[in-house]
Amino acid sequence: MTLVAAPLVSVIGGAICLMMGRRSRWIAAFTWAISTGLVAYWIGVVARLGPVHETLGGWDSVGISLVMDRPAVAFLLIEQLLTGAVLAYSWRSELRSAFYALFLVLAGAVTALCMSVDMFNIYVLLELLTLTSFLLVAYERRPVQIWASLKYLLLASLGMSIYLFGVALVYAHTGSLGLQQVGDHLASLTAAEAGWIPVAASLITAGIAVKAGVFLYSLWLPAAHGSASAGVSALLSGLVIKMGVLALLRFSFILPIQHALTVLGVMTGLMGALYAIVETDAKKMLAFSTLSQVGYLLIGIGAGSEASRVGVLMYVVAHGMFKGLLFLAVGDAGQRLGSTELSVLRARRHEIPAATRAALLVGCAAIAGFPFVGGFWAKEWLLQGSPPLQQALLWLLMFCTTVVFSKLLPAGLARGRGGGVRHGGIPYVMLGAGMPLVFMLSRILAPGQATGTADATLVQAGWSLGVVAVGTFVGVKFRVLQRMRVPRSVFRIEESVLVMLFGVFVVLAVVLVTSP
Amino acid sequence: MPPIGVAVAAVLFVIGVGALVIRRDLVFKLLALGLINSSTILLLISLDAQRSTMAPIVPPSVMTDVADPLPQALVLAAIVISFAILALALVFVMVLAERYHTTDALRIERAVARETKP
Repeated sequence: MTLVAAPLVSVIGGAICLMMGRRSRWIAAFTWAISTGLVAYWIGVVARLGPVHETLGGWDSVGISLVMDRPAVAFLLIEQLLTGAVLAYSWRSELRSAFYALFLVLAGAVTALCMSVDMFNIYVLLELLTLTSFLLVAYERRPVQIWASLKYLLLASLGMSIYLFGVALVYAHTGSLGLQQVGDHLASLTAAEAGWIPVAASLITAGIAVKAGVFLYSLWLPAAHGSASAGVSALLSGLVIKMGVLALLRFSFILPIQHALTVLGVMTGLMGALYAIVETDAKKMLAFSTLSQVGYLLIGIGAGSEASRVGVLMYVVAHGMFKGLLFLAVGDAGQRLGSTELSVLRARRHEIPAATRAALLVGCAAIAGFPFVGGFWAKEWLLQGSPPLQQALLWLLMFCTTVVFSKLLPAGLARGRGGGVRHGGIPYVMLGAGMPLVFMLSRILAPGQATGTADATLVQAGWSLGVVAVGTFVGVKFRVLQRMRVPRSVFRIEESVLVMLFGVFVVLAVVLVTSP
Repeated sequence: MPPIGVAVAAVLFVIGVGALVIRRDLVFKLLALGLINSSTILLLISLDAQRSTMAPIVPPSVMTDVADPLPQALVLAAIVISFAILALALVFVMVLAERYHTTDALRIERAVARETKP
């Protein structure tokens, strides 16, 4: 079967939604079911036979090539989980057909991006993703959403221009756009001929980082993810920024950017956590925490070992699940209480529906790395594949995350039923029930390998429990942390642009310093 | 020695970013974004023109010194994308201008902040 079928199904479904108007949600659900079947088929093929390559149109060496490999499969898995959950979440909200059309085109773009290994194809699809998520953020037409998405569009478009500069440089020197061909060509260059590589690498990395949710580059993210409606936020945080991460993962094989990614990972991890700690609004706190969570992924890619890459893929799936869960749960609670301020959520936690409270608890536990849930299994692989320094950094990030989520945790701790949820808890089950099963993913992503022994897992569980306990204690006891003053003006357009350009030079400096 | 087009593209990019940062008016910001997008298009075209400027519409027998057709195809896609982005962004600027009666980024930023923090 051709690889193009999967993205095409979603886009055609979106077109039918626009045409039919009514009953769009049924068309969307039907399309989702078909593409889930396709993804299941491809997971089976990749798990049994390994990667599948395809070049479009029969243009062997110059055509656009697609690949269905293990990273693609992991990202497709979380795409189907999240889109299904968001569909179930918005089932009864009587959204117009335009929403479903955009939703399906976004899903198609994501599916195509998972398989793209062509630099220009990645550019076009990232821009399509920008446009659709731009419209989805502003779907409810509240001014704050329109302003946030306009900022997003300006910054993302600038970032993509920077990326295109880098691509033009690469094309001028290598004469090809396929990652495989470019990689082969770069490997054959001598040191004297390779002077341009750091410049191209920094332009490409910085350009993609704008879309990948990295602090310094993605300063549009808190406003956009914090103001969109709950389902859209879940999609953006769980899925759309991961496409930038996937592109960075693919580029890390051919460009010398491992150290740069580690530096960016530490920076986004710590700065995101800092802003999340002082944030008073639950949705914005989740958005900042997304910036922080991308840190794990970048450090994992930067570590550059096989095990750490498996860990990154598992963490992408796990993060999509628990961040989606948390955004949907906070959205539910906010609808019930009329506000998503953390103080309101904590004070009136008895009014939050019981299912939503459970989802909040599970989400907080999973994101903090509580043993045997969600992120824990991915972190096992990440830690195993990383050198000692990176391991220490990962533990530090985990501690920061726990401090952040000690603010949201009390909202889930209450007795009583508190009323039902409109969607009957189906999205919560879709995203939450698989959480302890994340470890099964390694069977697909790294067949025949295992992380250490059961004893090692128990030791890590003990450490994780300790970090979670200390982090929660610090977060609850030292409220002074939440009153820290942090600069807010960096989130204005002008400052964001300047900071992003500064970021290009940061990457360039790191690449130049660390290249042999 | 890079062709003059590359230098012009770099200058256009810098001017565009400068305008994006300095001008507070959103319409000017969008014009600046258009300039930045054009600079990437110029870069692609002028790198292509290094080899030859002859249009690649020739029989296969004289394939030796024509321009590379691939960047031209890329440029078409880039132009369409940049057009779509500018058009959508202008619509959003119109909506904001209708509501706040200004296209000044700083004023809109403040007005939005006032509305969200009661």
